[in-house]
Amino acid sequence: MGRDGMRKSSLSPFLGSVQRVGIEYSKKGQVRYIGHLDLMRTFFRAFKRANLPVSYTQGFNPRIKCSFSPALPLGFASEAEYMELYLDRKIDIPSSVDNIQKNLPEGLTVYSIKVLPLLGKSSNARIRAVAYRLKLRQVFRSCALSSRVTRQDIEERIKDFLSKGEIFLINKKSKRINVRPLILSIEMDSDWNIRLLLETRGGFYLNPKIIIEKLLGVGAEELAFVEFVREKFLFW
Amino acid sequence: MESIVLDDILPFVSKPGRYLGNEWNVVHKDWESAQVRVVLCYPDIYELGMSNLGLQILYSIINQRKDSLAERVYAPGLDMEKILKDRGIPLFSLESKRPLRDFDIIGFTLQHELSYTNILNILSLAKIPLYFRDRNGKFPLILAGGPSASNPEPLADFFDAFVLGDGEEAIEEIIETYKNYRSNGILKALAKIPGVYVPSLYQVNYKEDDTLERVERKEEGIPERIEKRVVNLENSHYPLAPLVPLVDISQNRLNLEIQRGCPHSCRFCQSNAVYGPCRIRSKKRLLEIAEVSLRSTGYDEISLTSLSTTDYPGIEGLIGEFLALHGKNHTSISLPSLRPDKFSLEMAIKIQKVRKTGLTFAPEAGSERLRKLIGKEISHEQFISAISQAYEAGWKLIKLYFMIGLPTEQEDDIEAIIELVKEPRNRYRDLNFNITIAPFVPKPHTPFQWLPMEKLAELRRKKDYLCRRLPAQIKGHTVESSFLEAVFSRGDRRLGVVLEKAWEMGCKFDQWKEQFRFDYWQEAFSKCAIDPDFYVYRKRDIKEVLPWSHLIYG
Repeated sequence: MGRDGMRKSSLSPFLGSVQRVGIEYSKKGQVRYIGHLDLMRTFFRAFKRANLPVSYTQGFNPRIKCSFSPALPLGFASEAEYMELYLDRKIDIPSSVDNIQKNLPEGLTVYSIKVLPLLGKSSNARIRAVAYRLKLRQVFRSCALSSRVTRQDIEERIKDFLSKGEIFLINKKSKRINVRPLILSIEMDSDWNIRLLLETRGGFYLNPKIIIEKLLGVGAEELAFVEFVREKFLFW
Repeated sequence: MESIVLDDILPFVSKPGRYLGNEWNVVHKDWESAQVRVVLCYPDIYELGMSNLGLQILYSIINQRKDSLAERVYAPGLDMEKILKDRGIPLFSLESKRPLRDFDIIGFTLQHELSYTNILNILSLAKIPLYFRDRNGKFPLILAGGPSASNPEPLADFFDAFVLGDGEEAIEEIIETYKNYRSNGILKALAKIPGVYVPSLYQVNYKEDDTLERVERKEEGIPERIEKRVVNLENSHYPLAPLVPLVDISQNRLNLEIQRGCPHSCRFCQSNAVYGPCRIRSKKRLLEIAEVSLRSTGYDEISLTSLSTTDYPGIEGLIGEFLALHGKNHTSISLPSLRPDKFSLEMAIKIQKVRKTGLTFAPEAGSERLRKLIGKEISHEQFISAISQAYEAGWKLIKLYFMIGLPTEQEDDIEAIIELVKEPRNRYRDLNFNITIAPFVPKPHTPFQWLPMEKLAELRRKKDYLCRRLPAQIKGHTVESSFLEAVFSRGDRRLGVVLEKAWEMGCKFDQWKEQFRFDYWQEAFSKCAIDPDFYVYRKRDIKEVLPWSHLIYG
């Protein structure tokens, strides 16, 4: 939808538009069960309700000119979502934050709106790595691991895991790929929060859930209760 | 009972967005301060149920009242059902996540007969006894309305009451009545509301040949015959802030009902009886509704719904004004199935300027003779020229609806379907058709109600032949599911046990091809010693008392 719109208008993305803004927002609570396309539609309807002067692509099937941060796996929360939006009129930034916010369902929270250069590239092209966070709660530890597992145990496992030169996954095309080079770091803090920093290459985003499955030796079922949070994008 | 915690369930279902109850414009009312708590149920999956306008209207009417609240529930997906059963969680509403049995009233919509097993399944998942007689007034009242309430007899043992016809006013009277009589004589009080049918207050007697002898009221003071409700459409309530789903649904757009009923009276069509007489909303009112509800929803598409949209008087002006007001705001209009005439096409072409939308025609029968017989008088030339015109205007895919097994149908009527499709298809090589073929089911309250349905084997043969010969993609339910539709749309109270048996054997989502188990149904009929052919293939005498004879839709 939106990305499509970007492509079609890539020759002159500013055609007719007078402003480009970046909207940063978080996705938490129950809306994390809303998938990427549904989320886009939800935003478009919010813009319409907010009467925001969004730009449309030219042509037979006009679409809103915008681009969203990469799709978040269903069920993930995020503190780092963004979108870039072209506008036909300049908007007042502070009042627009409120205006958009009051038209969004619970769980989607706008942090900020920033004016971007009209001619800039989409931030998606500059993503270098993505940081994720998850918390190993007591209930999860005692159910999926062992009630006596200590932080030192987990830290040992992380160390062992990272010391491997190769970690193979089977991708969608049933090809074995070594994802070890994409794992930039895995750390745990005193509160049992694990943080992963995963590099992205050629538009491929490694799912941290698969890494945690491998790291802890647990199945997807057991991880279902663990909430993953996209914390941050690192850009080139 | 406490509300259910979703976070323990949602990671394990494939479409968690169905169960969130966080749609835009959703209403969360205070449980304690509502005197009457209603949960509205569409007995199929969320994506279909959310598209239904009738429930949106009722939801809005009830929630507007200070004394009541309305919440919703849909048939849970199979994965969700398994979790509910495994963990012993009773089926709950989307808004407050409370078990259904905590409500005062559960209101089902009966959109088609193939949803009946889902109703039993939902009651069972809600841990509510299926049969009216087992509930002893200790559970919510189980009510239903909608098109299939025009013969609700096969469901008579499961429901407390049915609402015949338009529900806008009846629902308010039901709530008032419930407030006054909830603990004493509620059924009789309900039966006194015009259009409300309480089946347990009526006795059905049968003759030796298994046809009906008569239907009698068991008590004085309730009507002998129940007449369906008809509202003044212009003044009736319309939701101005309808629910907007966050996940995709089958009709993901704003529904604007411009007309109820239909000016034509095709003889096979039950909608005429159910939704008639033909009434319109004024242009002024429609433009007001559109203005407010587009703003409250953020939809970018509006569907002008009715049984025959281009027959709306002044449709041209309505569309013109609508486009002038909203077209520049990138809002498009869509029309449901069109009559294949020049005027309708001009409408479609005008609309297409904003955005390309689909095009659907329903010739129903292949030959002019048969179309004339069923009351759908469109000539071959009219139809061909409509298709040509649509093609010239840029449509490359056209949907068509046909019925097979219509009264007096001959081989050349079937050939005529093929001709009708082949002619334009040969002329325009890149024009494609999507064709739905449905067996004709003689429905209650239509001039064809006394006729038998055509034999399954014949229908199968005709459908297979068409599938082989038609140069198009063929869709539609299996002929076996139409057989079942015929049993339950024309059936009587004795069918309740069959329904229960089939559901026990695992029948549900019968509308979904991959779920439909005709073999189970056949077994259920035979276990209950009920011959379905009696309902499907028998020609009724014009004097016969029909199971729906006491329900007046005329």
